[in-house]
Amino acid sequence: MKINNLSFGYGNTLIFEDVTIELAAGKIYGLIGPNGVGKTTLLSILAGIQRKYGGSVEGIDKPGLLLQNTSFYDNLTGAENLRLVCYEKGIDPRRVEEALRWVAIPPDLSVQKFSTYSQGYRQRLGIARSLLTDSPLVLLDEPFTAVDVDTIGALKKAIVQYVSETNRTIMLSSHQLREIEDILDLTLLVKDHTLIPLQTANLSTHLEGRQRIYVTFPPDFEALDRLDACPYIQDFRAISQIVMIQMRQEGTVSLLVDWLESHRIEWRRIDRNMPLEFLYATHSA
Amino acid sequence: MNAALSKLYLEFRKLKISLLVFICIGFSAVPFLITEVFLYFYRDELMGQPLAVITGNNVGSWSALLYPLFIIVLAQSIVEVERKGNLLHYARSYRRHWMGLITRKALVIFSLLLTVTFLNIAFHALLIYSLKERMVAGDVSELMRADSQDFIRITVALIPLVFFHLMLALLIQKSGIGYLVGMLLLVTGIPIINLTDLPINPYSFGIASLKPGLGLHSIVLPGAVVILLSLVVADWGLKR
Repeated sequence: MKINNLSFGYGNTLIFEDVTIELAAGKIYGLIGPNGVGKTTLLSILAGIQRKYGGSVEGIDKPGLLLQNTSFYDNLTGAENLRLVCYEKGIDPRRVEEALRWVAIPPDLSVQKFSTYSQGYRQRLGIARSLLTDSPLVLLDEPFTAVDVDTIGALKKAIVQYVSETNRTIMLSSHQLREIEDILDLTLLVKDHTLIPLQTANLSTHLEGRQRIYVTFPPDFEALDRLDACPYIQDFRAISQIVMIQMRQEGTVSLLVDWLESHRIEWRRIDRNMPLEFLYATHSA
Repeated sequence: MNAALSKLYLEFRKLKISLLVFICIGFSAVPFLITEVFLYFYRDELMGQPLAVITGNNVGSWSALLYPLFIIVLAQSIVEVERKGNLLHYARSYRRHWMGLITRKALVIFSLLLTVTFLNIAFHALLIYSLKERMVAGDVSELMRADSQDFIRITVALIPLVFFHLMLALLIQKSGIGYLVGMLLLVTGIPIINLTDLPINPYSFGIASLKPGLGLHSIVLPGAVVILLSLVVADWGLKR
């Protein structure tokens, strides 16, 4: 699957210019970037909804698709809604049961009208519909929006399992960087009318034997200069509310936590790997 | 074949039964009851008058106004279920041609149109039965047979309108504007067909099918053109 020299704009507003990228089989790609930068537009182009663009798209036809603000027929059951998509796409309708299993929709719910579904199950059904495809690519636009933590966990599990069992590729867009970072193989930042691959794998968490950690503070954190006094910190760099800390030789995470607590400095979480949010902020700055 | 039937079945299932019953009753039993109530208050004036005046007006109101209006309401309601979930937009990701969907929707409308026609024939018979003692009826069974044929003729004549208004409903984003355009064409079509005898407006094909000198055969060619153009334009518009 390849996108060659893709260019697109709305009127005089340029969205993409000369974008070329190859998508590998069996991978999960994350599409991130601020609102209005073109994430949904790119998915619409790949889905064949938006057809007036420059360049070419190879190896992608009728991909699976989850779009924001698209729903189902209220009067049909969940299973009937999926069967209808199968008939229209020329897919064996027996695959509906499999799709419902992927997203953990119980059989007794699948025979109820869609109008009775909760928000979480509506989103699950949307993802089940997107998985009903013969295309090697599935596109998910904001798959974890407006759903609870349990549903996010179930959907992430379904996505990872689907990719590993079918060797299909998933491209998903999301603003919930914390939620998607652990399932992505490659993150693509939409910026300056192009796609910038963000590499996280080659960023070492150790430098010259000293540990590097990432501490997330509350959004209104203003005590950054107090970290200078911490005996376990060699150096630090803050981007947004995340602080990358280079520990001293003798410093450990537990000692740092003790120090923060004893100095009444509130913190939210500590990561050993670079959070996608930090990487995103670095590139966006 | 199975998939085609299943798709047609699901096309019906997309719609709420209560809505369909409401529309069908609203366009058959309700006009009949209103007519009966109206005639009750004028029962003395009707005494000795020819029954054909009443039945002719009843058939005429259906051909000119009520059937086209029924098709407009039904087409808009049927397309509304697609709009509600933004499903026309979504389907562009996998649907390369729209003829099948439009034809299925037209079949749904036509089958309901046929249902209303049979209800109308029944209610029309009841109307004749309720008036035949007070008015000059002549051969009642012949009157019923002729009027039933007229109802069937109007139903067949309005098949092109089913496709035409479906095309409008599918392409016009706001359903209020779809209704407005349909109503305007309906209202302007009546004087045009009456003054010119030109069957070009599908909203007045019902009138044309009953008009002396025109008849059903006169709308075969324009009807075929309307159906074909509606399909092509709807397919083109939805692909864009």
